[in-house]
Amino acid sequence: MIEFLRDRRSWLLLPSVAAFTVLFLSPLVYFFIVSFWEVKSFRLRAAFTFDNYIDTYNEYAEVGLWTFGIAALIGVLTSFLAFSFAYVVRFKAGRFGPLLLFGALIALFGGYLAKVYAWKTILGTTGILNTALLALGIIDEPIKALIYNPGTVVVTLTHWLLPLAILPIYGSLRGVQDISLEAARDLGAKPWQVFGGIILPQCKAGLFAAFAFSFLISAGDYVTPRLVGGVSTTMIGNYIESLFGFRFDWPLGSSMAFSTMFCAIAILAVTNFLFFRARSRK
Amino acid sequence: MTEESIVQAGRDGDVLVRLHGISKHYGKVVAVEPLDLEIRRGDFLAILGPSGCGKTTLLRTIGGFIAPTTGRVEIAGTDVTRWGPEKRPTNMVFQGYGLFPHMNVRQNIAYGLRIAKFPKAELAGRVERAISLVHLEDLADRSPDALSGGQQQRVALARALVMEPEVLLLDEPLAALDLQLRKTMQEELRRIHSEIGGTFVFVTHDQGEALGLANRIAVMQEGRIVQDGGPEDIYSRPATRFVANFIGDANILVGRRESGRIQLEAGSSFGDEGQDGAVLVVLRPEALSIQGGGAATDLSLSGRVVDRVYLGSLVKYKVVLGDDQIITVHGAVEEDQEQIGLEAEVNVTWSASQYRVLDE
Repeated sequence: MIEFLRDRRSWLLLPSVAAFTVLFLSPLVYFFIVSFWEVKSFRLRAAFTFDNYIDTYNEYAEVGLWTFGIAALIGVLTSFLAFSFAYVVRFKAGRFGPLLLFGALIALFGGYLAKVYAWKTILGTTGILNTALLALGIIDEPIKALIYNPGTVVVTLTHWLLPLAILPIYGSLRGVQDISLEAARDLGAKPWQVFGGIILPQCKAGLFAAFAFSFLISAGDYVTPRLVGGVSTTMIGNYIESLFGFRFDWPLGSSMAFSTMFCAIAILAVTNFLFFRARSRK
Repeated sequence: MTEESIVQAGRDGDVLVRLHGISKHYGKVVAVEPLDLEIRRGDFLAILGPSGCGKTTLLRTIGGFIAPTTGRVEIAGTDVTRWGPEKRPTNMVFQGYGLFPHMNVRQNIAYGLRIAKFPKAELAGRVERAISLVHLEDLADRSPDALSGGQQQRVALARALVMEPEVLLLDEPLAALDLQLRKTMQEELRRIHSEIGGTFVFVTHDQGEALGLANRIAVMQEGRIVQDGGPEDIYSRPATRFVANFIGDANILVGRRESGRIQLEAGSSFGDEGQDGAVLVVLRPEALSIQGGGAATDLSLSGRVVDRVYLGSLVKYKVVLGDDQIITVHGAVEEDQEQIGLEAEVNVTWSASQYRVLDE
C-alpha cells in the first residue's frame, strides 16, 4: 500500500477518486443518514428512527416487488436478445459480424429520451402503427392499449439497453476458441451439447453482466414508466422521485432508495450464486 | 487405455483408413489434388510438407472436419465420408490444443466419455489411466490456464486418447513447444504409441520430427503425395528433387546420362544404367568424404574448401566445385586429422551405394 502511494503514477487515480467521493460516496452517506431522520412541519429534523423503513415495508413492498418483477423481465429479455445477437455476430455472420456489431453500437448514439419518444411516436394513439392500421382499414379506431402499459415500458427499456447488453456478452463469446468447439465435436458432442456444455458456460460472466446491468437500470428507472407506462406502471423510482419532489419527505424517500438498493444487491447476489454454482458443480 | 482396448478387431498391418480419390477445392483454389492413401493398423504415419501443401486439409478430412470435394474416406471398412467428427472413430489433438477453459484437467479428459454416457466407475478408471499415461497426476485438478504449453499438450493428448480412437490424429502436435520440450514430447509420443499400440497420424512441416517419430512418411507437395514410404526410404531414396531437398540436407548435382554413363556438370563421370537424358544426382552430406588431394576416381569431384565449421561430432565443409556449385560435406572428425583448412584443394568422394539418381 505504501509502495502504491509512493509510486507517482498512482496519483493519476486522484481525480477519479476525488470525483467518486464528492459526487457519489458523500451523497450516498448523506442520504443514508437522512433515511433515519424525520420530517416535522416540512422541515428535516435529525433523529434516529426506523419508522421510514417500516413505512417503506408496509406501504411500498408491493410496488417494490412489481418493480423488481418488471426489471427482472427486462433483464432476462435483454440478455436473451443480446445473447442471440452476439452469438450470430460471433459464430454465424462471418465477415459481416463486425458490421452488425457496429450497427448495434451506432444505435447507442440515439439518446435515451429519443428512444422513449420514438416508441411514443410508434405506439401512440395517433402514432405510426395506429395510423398505418387505420389507413389499411384493418381497424376502425385507434387501439389505445398499445401504449401506457407495462409492456411498453418493457419494450422501450429493452430496446434501449440491448446494445449495452450485447457488448459484455460479445466480449465473452469472443474468448471462446473455435478449436475448443471443434474439439468438443471431435469428442462426440452434438451441436446442442457443444452449445450447452462449451459455449454457454464460457460466457456466463458476460451474460450475468448483461443481466445485472439491465436489471439495475430498469429497477431504478422512473422516466420511461412516466412517459410511456401510464398510471398502471408506476414503479418504485416514481414514488422516490415524488417523495424528494413535491411531497418533500426526504427521509422516507431515502429509506425507499436504500431499501431498493439493498434488495437489488441481494437479488443479484442470489442470481449470481445460482448462476455460477448450479453448473460448475457438475 | 490398455491392450484390450485399442487393439480391437483387426491386426496390425491391416488397412484401417483408406482414402479413395480424395480431393478438396476451395472455390478455384485446389488444396488437395485427387489422391489415394492407405493407413495400416499400427502405423505411425507422418504427413510431411511445407505450409500450404494441403497436409492439414488431408488430416481434417480424415477427422471429418472437412468434407472432401471428391472421393471417399473409409475407416475400418466403413464409408465415413458423410460422417461428422462426432461419429467417426477418430480423435484429434489440435494444434492450439482447444482445451475447455471452464473445466479442470480431469473434466477436460473426461468430457468425451461423459458425452458418450459412460458408467461412472468405468469413466473414472479410464480417465485416471489416461492421466497417468501422460504423467499429469499432480495437475489433474488444475485449470488449463494454469498449465504450461507442454502440459496443455499432454492434456489434449490424454483427452483424445481416453476415447481409445481407431485413429489418433495430431495436427502439428509439437509446433508450439520450445526445442527442449519438443524433444521430450517426441519421446513421450513414441513411448505412448508403443505402449498402447494404435494408429497415429500426424501432420508436420518439420522433417526432423517426421523422421524421429514416424515409421512411415507421406511427403506432400502442392496438394499431392509425392512420396510415401519408410523414413529410410524417403531419406536415402528420395523420389523427387523436392523430397531430396525437403528431407535433410542434400547436394543436388546436374548431369546427363548417355548410354549408361552419367556426366556431371561439375566434372566426373560414372557408370549408371538408365534412360538417356538430363538427370539429377542426390548426394547426402554425410555420404561424402573429403580428402586433401589424392587421386580422382569416377566417384569423386575436386574442389576448394570455402567454409569449415567444427561441430564436435563432425566437421561441416562447404566445397566449391568446378562449375561454381557449392556442396556441403559432413566430414568425420577423424578424417580432419589432415587438417583440411580453408582454401585447401580437396577431393570429395562417395561410394557406389550412396547416391541417388533422379531422371528429370
